Amino acid sequence: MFKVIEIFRGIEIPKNNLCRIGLSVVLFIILLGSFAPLIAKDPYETNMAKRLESPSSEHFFGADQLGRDLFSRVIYGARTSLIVAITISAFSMGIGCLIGAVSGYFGGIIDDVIGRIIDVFLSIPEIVVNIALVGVFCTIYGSSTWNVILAVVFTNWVSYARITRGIVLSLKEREFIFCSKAIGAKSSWILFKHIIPNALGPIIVLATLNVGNIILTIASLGFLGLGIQPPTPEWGQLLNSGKNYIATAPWITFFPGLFIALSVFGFNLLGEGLRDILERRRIYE
Amino acid sequence: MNDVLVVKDLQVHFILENTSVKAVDGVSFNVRKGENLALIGESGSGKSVLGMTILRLLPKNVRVNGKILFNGSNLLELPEEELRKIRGKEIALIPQNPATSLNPVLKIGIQIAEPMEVHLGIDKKIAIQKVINLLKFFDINPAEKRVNEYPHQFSGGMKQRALVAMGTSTKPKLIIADEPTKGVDVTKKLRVVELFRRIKENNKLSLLVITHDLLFAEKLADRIAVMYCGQIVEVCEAKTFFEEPLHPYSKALLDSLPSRGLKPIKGCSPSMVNPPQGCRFHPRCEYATSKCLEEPPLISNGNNNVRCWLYD
Repeated sequence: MFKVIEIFRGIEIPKNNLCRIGLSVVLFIILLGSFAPLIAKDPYETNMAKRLESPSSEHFFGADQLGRDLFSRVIYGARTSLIVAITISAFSMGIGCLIGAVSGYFGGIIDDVIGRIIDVFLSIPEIVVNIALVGVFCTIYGSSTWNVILAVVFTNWVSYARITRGIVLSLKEREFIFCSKAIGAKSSWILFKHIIPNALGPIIVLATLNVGNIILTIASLGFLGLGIQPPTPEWGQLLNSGKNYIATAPWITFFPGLFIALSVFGFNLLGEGLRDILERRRIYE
Repeated sequence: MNDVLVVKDLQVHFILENTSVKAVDGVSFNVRKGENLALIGESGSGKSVLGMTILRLLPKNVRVNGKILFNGSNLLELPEEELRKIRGKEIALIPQNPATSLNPVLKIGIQIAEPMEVHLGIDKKIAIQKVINLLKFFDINPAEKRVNEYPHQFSGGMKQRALVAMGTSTKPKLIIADEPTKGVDVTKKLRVVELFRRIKENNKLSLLVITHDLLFAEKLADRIAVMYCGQIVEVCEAKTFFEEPLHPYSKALLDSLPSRGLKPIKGCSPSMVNPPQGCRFHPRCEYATSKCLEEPPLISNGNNNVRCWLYD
């Protein structure tokens, strides 16, 4: 963990505007999600008297078709989306980095086999595989948030593996790796102590950008009714439930859509900003 | 049994698509217990490749023949795992470029402790304590603070001393130093000599120094081996080498020193893909005769071994 901190030491985030804006947006959404119980009301409480009520001082975002407070549902939705997206990103990063590092470091047949597997994954549209997998998991294990996580991780690790493989290919020719071999270190030692800490910068950038993408994927699955199941509030699913009332009560779709856009925007800006900072540092080195 | 390392008829050929580069072609020499042997030669004569071959650190497209005997076992035939236990424990390699041989994201202390952790199974905390003592020994002060610094906070000379500290930490029997004076100021070269002398005070070890720096070799070495175009052309005591070298190449090499007239050797070093037939040096040699088209063996002449027909 402290290696990650070491990488960020000396970075002055406020100097980079992209980073500054992105970080504010991301922090804003994270804070909203974390303090949801303090800010919002009960997102499950229905009140048919307030069905499809428009935004007011009592219900900032209005109410949905069951009279639930939309503001609360959107904010609790931020919780779901962020937790699931970050979990997926973390799992994919672990799996992808390990596979990519092994592939790049050992080369030869291992690299060929992993390379072809990656090619196969890249040749199929991700969302199609995700939809199919969620369906399969649902019939076997019943509906659960883990279905979505596993299905997305299944296609998502590939980008981490590709990036890590590339970095490792260039790192393993560096002299300090040679030096480490000369002192008799094992391959696993070299991989975990020397190669992965050096590869962390670009991987962190990728992970940040990736969280934005995953939020979109989760929302897409939710919109199709395959994601996180109601009544748990989730942005894509809120969009779906509002689509029949788009002419009469547009706020049901507008506010979840706004939050999806805002969070993806925030993570992308943060990622781009981090890339600027880390790449510049690499060139400087 | 006075030899730590015996190399017999070593050939290292890099296999390319339709040719092979004969980087080392039939090299035999030995390193005695406790001695400093300097392996000298021009750039591209195969010195560094020879050093790396000893620890089998070469890429895969290489074909190695011959024998490298260390403590009676042939390093070229040892399984990878056995060899790993020798690397850094029995034979340490001090790499060419101190600037790039340290991992930029790890603290110096952690890196110097690596060989001890890998080979002696010493706990990290105790190893760091030992590193602090090593840093003090090699004049990197204040050691307690320096141990937690990163390579970019070290100067070039300090990085080199850190690498030497790393190499000596496991008390190896043989240290191979690859171009230790590369990029070191003339004024600091004597300090490198002193550095290597200091290592030897406490440990009984042998030193194989690979260098093209004749003056440095003169200060440090007990014996000299001269390499030319993948072959060793002369092995002798350091004193004899600098006073009366035998091989025409050694003579020409010494004559090219500024203090001895700065006379360059005519011609260029030959290609390693198609080395000249017979004696490799004959196209550039002023004593060449028709006999030189045949390859001379290593002929012993008193204490010296020389690969030249002049001494047959």
